[in-house]
Amino acid sequence: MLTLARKNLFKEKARLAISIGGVAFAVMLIVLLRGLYVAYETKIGDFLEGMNVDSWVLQKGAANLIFSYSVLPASLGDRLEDIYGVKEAIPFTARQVGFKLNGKDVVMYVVGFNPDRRGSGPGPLRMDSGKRHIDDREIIIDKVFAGKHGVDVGDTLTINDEKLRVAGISSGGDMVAFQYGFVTRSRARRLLDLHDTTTAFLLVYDENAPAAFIREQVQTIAPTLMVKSMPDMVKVNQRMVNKGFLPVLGVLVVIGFLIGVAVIGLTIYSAVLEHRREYGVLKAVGALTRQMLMVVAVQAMFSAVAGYAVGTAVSLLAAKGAEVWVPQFITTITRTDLAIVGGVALLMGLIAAFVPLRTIARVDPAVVFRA
Amino acid sequence: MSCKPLLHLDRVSRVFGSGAARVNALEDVDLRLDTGELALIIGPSGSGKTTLLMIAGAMLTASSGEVYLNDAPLSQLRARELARIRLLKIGFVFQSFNLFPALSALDNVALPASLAGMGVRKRRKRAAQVLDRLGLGERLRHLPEQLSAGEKQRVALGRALINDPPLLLADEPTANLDSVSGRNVLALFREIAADEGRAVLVVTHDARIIDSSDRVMHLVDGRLGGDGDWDKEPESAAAPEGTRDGEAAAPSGDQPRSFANGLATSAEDRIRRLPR
Repeated sequence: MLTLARKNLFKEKARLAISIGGVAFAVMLIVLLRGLYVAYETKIGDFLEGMNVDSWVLQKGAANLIFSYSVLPASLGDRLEDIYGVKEAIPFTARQVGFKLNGKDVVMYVVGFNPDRRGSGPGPLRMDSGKRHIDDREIIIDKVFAGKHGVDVGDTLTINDEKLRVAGISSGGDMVAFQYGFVTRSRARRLLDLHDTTTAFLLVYDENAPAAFIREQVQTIAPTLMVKSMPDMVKVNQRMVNKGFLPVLGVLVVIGFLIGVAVIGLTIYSAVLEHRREYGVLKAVGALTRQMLMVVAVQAMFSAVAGYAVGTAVSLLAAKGAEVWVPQFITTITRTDLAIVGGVALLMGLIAAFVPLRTIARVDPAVVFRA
Repeated sequence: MSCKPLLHLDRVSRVFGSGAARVNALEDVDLRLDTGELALIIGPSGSGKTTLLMIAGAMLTASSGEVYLNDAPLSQLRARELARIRLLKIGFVFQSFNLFPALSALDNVALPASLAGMGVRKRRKRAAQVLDRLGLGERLRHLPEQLSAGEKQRVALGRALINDPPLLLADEPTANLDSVSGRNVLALFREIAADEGRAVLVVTHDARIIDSSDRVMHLVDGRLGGDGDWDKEPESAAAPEGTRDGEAAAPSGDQPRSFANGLATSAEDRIRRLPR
């Protein structure tokens, strides 16, 4: 029976190609979308954790960095540093700004940083080209922003009527909807109209500092302040991206799954219809419905496995290619995800194998007597 | 004839449809077939030959009457058990061969053995032996499209025999063959019945083959007559279309190893005597 399944499958190469292509497409869709999702989730975490601080002090109610806004007095830093266990309170001065670039409206999340400082605090995650040590008239932009808008080191951006020369290009600051740009902290205050205020403070604790005590002490300064640990801050921001991303991803994964099932199911079903007589012969010579279903199941499973292999290979190649040609399309394809998608592909094949069940069960062995 | 025939159709009737559309495909058919016997049922199109074969082959149930195989009533069996009977107790040979085009001659023959659960090496060895016996030892790897009609029918015969069934049912086995190939196939049936002790029931409207059998029965309008005088059935005596004498003979590969050319000569003599 396996021989029949295999030989029938390979005899009709066009049908086999369609079947494998359908699954490969579905697998590709799922793998790349999942990879995209994991990559962005990881990137959000990487960027925040890259600041290497213990907690954030924000205005109460500022749920995340993107869709909510926090304004704190710059002088608060000294009071925060007076709290027992707080080694340092670093101002986080940042805001999303819109400006015109090459005649188009663009958005950037401008962050102020201290170019002299290394180790902790905000700043570009990795430098790809140019310099990190910038002055007040300069800016470091993310490589995705640079690639998207054709900006390079030496070009000038005009943000809020102020000219900034691109002095460096960094990576790790792409958040899908926007990219981070970095200017000096003093320039950020002027540029973002923050003057004597800042967005948040980043707290660096002494070793073995009492986190709960510090949280209490911050709230005694002003009940409108909120302390978030770095893991909480990462979670909150990831959740915000997930909120927008996961439903879309979920729908597309379901669509991919249905495409896979439909393509295998329809090709197998049409093959069964075309080979109805052969199934009639099998029935006539004593094959059980279960044995005939096995022929179909083997064919469906082969299509699923081959489609999975092709889809995975193409996805990995596409992901590598995208890294070079479309830098904003960054994916993280994990082995666990590939294993899960493999299971999904097998499930596609299994479900598809049952599509022609009724037809097979109802095949009339009398067909064998027709000339 | 022994008291307990291998196959016994006991007053079998089969009705299709109801009311004005009611058709009595078979009426009170009584048929006994013993081991070692080659019986022929001759009848024109629509006489109920296929229905009879389907009932005898456990593919269709009778409306009334009973079918016994080795004295066991088939009506008592479930679909699964009937499938097992078809697989192990009955071999089928069809008019249009019904080979699997994607499978080689060897794989076609081995297929029922695979359904019966025989291991790969064993069934392939057995299929090769069967094909060798049928004179196709050199054609094991050939696909059906690479075989002549006579060779295809011998592959189909090999498939019918692989599980060593005691009963062989053949539906118009010579209809798509030229006269030489047809005679060869019938001679094989003869050998299978006489030498191997199988019961062979051939349904046909090919008048050229009646002399090859032990017994000839006529089926007309669903009623089975006993051994008849063929000369009295001129309507059924026409050779099937496309297989008239004088048509190109099958390639030399069509000659099974165990058959002497003398057999063909005597068969041809008999055919000449048949009415046209």
